[in-house]
Amino acid sequence: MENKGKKILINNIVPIVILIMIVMAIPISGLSRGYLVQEMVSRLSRNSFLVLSLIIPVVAGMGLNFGIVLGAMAGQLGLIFITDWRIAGMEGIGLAILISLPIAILLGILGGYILNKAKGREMITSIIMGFFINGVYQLVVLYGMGNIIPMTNKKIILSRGYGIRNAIDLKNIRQVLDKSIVLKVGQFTVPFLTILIVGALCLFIVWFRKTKLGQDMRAIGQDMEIAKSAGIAVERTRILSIVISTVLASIGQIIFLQNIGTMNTYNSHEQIGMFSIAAILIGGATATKASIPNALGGIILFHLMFVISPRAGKELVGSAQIGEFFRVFISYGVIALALVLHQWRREQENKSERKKIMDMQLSGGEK
Amino acid sequence: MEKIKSYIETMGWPRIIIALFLLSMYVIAPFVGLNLGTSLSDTLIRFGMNAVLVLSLMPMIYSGTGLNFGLPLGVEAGLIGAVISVEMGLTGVLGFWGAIIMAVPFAFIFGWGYSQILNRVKGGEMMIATYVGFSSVAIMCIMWLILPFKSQDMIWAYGGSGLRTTISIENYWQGALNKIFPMADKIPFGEIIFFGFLAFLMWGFFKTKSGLAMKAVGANPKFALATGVNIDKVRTKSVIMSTMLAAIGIIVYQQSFGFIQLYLAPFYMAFPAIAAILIGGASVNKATVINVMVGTFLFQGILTMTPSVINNLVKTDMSETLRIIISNGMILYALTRKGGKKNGK
Amino acid sequence: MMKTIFIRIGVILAMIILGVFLFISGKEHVIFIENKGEKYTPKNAYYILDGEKEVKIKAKKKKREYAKGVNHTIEIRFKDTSGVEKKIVKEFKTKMGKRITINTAMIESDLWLKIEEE
Repeated sequence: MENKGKKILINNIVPIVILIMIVMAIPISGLSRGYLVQEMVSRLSRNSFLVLSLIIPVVAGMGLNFGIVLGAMAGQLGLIFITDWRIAGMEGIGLAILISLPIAILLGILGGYILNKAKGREMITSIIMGFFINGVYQLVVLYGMGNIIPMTNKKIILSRGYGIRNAIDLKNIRQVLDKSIVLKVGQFTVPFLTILIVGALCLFIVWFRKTKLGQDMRAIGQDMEIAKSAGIAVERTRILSIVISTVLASIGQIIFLQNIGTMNTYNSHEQIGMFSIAAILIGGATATKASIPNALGGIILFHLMFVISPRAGKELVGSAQIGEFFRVFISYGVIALALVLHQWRREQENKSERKKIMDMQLSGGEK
Repeated sequence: MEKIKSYIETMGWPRIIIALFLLSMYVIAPFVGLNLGTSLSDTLIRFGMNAVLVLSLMPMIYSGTGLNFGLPLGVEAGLIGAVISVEMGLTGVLGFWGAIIMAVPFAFIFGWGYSQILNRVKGGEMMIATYVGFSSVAIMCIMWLILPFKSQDMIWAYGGSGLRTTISIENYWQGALNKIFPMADKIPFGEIIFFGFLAFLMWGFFKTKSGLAMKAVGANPKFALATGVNIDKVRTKSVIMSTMLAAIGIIVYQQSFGFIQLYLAPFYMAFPAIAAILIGGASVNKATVINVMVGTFLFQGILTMTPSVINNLVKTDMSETLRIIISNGMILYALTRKGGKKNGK
Repeated sequence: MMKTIFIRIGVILAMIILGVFLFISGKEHVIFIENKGEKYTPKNAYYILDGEKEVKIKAKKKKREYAKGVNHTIEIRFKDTSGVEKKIVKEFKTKMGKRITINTAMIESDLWLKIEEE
């Protein structure tokens, strides 16, 4: 009985630690509970799609896919085009997704191919890959657009005549998904359509795990060699997992940006990778195991911390600037903490595994 | 024919391709209006700036603690030393060495703390190192704002508090290393000699008993354990060494660059250094001084030449974007080569 | 094998058609509204474009509106020369590459809608 409790504690140590930190910080920050709940509802609705897109690569043993940045960039390219062409409303969202789809698929194939060549180092490779493709994205968006790629909407072009502006107002699609069906629960506004879409993704993930492809990915995630000898096309399936993740990320970024209403052309996608991974890690996922509760719970925990820490820092120290830096420190520190705790957990598991085997061997008789 | 083939294999195709690429840049340079002499001297100057930072990666690679993505931690220690030196008003060579002497104790403490974390996460060092590095930059940002520095050259004008983002050391110890040598602004003899000195120390160290123990811990931990080596202690030593070298490295960088850059500047500093050493032929657990020298030269060379050449070709300034593509492209290239023990994610 | 290729081409075609449809029905067009009559210009005119909020437009002024899609309705309300309040509803289409200007003062005549090349 006691062992079971201990096991639950160890398995969920990360979210528990973070939760304790948050509970301590809420009173310091002075933020009201109502405000926090409403913030969490909006943040859940706009971030879930992105964070959920991280699950499938983890299942396939690719680790935490920092490469969702590639998907975010694809989504942003789609949004740049529909803003240029002035397509509004749901049609705008639909067209943006349609345009970013082939881009996301191509980037996903590229990403998967690169990661296949860096087996064993997928996570750090995907971080660098994100930086690299960001450079290519800049090349296209800052130099190509308005130049080689014809743009008609002068408003989004820089004053020098080519290149997209730093910030684009997405007013034609602002809050289109969120406002279409709105639910009022007490004092809170819930963007129902968006929540439905997120729910659909969750169902998709659950269903996908049961399909043959999903099972193949599970097998590869557990042991590549065994999967190979079982006849699974390991290389191809790994690439497929990244493609799916990248496509989901591009849609997720579009959902995210329609909620915010403005796109920071050169920045919006950068933080997305870090924050989404931070969220899922805080929710208790590891590089080898990630589930839907990890994603959703993690978003709530991470964003609570994200919203509370600058205020708490400001109340404690008196400077908003320091509060900002404090938030950055907490965000990265928490990821480091989560990774350390996971590694420690793995060590514990390995130790108990080895102890079990040793016990078995010792009691199993003479050598 | 066979000899050439085996030579190529030892060198590794990636290095040869990059070397040829760099060579072609130098060849093209005059044709697009760039002065060859200036280009070469620019490359050498950047070599001098960055070599020690790249060198700092060596100890941790050998001890199996992975590529030091937590380099920013050592850089922060170096920054502390640098600002203290300026605060004290030290100039010239005294300022330079003063900065190093102040930085070393901080580097030692930071390195020690860092090693304690890394020792508990064997197998996943690189990822955690990255985030420890990021967090340390963020916390130092807070520090730069609240630490009680008074020097007029460093704090915000108009009675602000906290240090400025960029501090000019033109009047302090810029160029301190190269001043006594000829052609100070063309060929950085001082920096090269300083680097050579440190590199020689490194080379010597790895021939000593401790150095060999460090190599053993990285190459074959079980064997090392069997010969009575305390793995954690050796790893700690390597992390402290790397952190101290990184602190020295950033001070060398600053005296060449002429500015101390605080706040978010050290954030991504690990990546170019790692790119350089990987290009030089190092792997996740093996790096020689030759790797450091060749790698820094190739990497900085390409980083200097390619944007300039392309800018002149296309008549647009795309330096920043090109740098991102090139440096990360090179790291990717190096990461996707076969070989090197599976060293965790 | 052939079946997969056919399915793939079919999907791509469907996506293109969907894309074109979304483009046409989602594209916002610029519509200019001006209040400049030949003989008589009401001091204030009011218009409702595609069921949005009512907008007031003073005499001799020009306003720019954006409207999504192809088919539109505009409802115009003003007081004519004899002070009688008039409300007129008209339908019109927007086309790609064509600029549309609606003149509220001329709404009762055939000259209310001006279509020009972009």
